[in-house]
Amino acid sequence: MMIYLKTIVAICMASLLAACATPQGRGDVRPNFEGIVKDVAGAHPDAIQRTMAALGYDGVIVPHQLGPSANFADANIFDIGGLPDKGVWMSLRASPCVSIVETKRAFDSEWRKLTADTDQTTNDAYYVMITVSSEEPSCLRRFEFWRAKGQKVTSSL
Amino acid sequence: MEVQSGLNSYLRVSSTSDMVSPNTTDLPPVVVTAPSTVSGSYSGVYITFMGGGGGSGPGPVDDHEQPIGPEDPPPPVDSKTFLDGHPQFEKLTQQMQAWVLQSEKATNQFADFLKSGGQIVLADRGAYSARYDPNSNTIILDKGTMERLVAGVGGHPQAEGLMFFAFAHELGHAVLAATSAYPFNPYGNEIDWAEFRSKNEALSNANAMLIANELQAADPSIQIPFSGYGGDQALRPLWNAFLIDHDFDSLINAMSDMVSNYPWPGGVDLNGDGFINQIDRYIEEFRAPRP
Repeated sequence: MMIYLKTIVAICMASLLAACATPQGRGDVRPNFEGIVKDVAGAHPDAIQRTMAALGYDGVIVPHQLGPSANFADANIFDIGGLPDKGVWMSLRASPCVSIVETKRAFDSEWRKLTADTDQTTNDAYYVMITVSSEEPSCLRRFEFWRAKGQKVTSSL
Repeated sequence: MEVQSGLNSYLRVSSTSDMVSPNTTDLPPVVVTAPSTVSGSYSGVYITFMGGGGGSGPGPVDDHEQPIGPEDPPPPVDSKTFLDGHPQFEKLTQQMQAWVLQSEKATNQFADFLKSGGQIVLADRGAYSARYDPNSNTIILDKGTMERLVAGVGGHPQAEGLMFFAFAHELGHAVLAATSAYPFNPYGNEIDWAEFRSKNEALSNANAMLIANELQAADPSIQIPFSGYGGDQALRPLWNAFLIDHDFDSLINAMSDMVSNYPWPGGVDLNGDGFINQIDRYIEEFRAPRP
C-alpha cells in the first residue's frame, strides 16, 4: 500500500514538474513583450519562431491591411508581420508604454541612428530596429528584427 | 462561385522572356524563365503582364530619317530612359530602382504607369504594406518602411525584397486598372464582386511573381520572397507547378482561393457561410455607399 502511495505521489510530482517546465504547455508561463526582447537581445537562435508563436502569428502577410494584433500584459501589439525564419516586426500602442530606454538596455551592443525616429543595432544573430512613438517619445512604437548572419555594429553615430 | 468566362482556350503568347541573360559564364546557372505559352481563361492577363501592359518599348527602328513637323507626336522614349532620373522613380530605394531596371516587365509596367500620370506616394500604411488607388492612380508605399530601407544599409536583404514584391503586386493592380485585361462586369452582384476582387489579388500577386522570377532567373542571388495571403512556402510550390504545366488558371485559382478563405479579423459573416473571411470583406466593400 505504501509503495502504491509513493508511486502515485511520484507520478503527481513528475506531472507537476513537467507542467511547470513546459513553456506554454499549461498556460502557466504567459508570453510577454519583455520575453521577446530578451530572446532577441540574447541572440536566441529560435527567437523568430518563438516570437511568432508567442504572438500567435502564422507568418502570412495580407496585402492592403494591417497585420494581426496581440495583447500582452506589458504591451499592446498590432500590425504583426514577418517571414518565418527571416524576421518579425510589430507595432506597439503607447499604452502600456514599453520603455525605449529599457528596451535598448536589454542589448549589449551599441545603437546607431537609422532615421529620425528609428535606431538600429546588431548582435551575433539579429539585425534589430526600434522606432520611437510620436505620441510618447519615451515609448516604443515599433520593434523589428531580422536574422543577421553574424553582422556586428562597429560604430555609433 | 466560379466565374466562367468561356475563354478556356489555349493561347500562344509571344514574349522576350525566353531570352537567356547575356551575362553568361563558362558554367551558366540554371535559368528558369516564365513560360511563353500558357493556357486558360486568364491568358489575356498573362499577355498583358508579360508585355508590360501595353508595351512601351522603343518601337521599330526606321532607317529613313523623316522631318518632324509641329503636328507630329514626339518620338517614343525608351522605358529605361524615361525612368532614368524621373522624380517618381527616385522615390523607390536604390535597390528597388535597380531591380525595376533589371526587369523588362517591371521597367515597362512602371514606365507605362508614370506615363499615364501615375504617382508614387509615401504614407503611413503599416509595415511593408502598399496599396494601389485606382481613383487617383497612385501606388502608396509605407513611408516608415521606405525610410528605414533607404537608411538601413546592412539590413536583411529579404526585407527589401519583401517591399519590392509588394510594389510589384501594386504594379499588377495598376496594369489591370489601366487595361481591359480583367474588367468587372458592371451588372455583377456582390458575389461577383468578391470573386473579381479575389481574382484581382491573385493576378496582382502573379505579376509580382513574374517579375521576381525574371530577376531571380537572371541572378539567382537575388532574394525576393513571395508573399500575400500565403507565405513563400505555400506560394513557391504553386509557382513551380506553373513553370512546369504552364496552366495560368490553376495558379490564379489556387491563389484566389487562398485570398477568399483568408480570415478577416474583426469582420462580419456577411454571406452567412459560417466563416469570416476576405469574401465578407469584399461584400462589405460592395455594399458600402459609393460617391
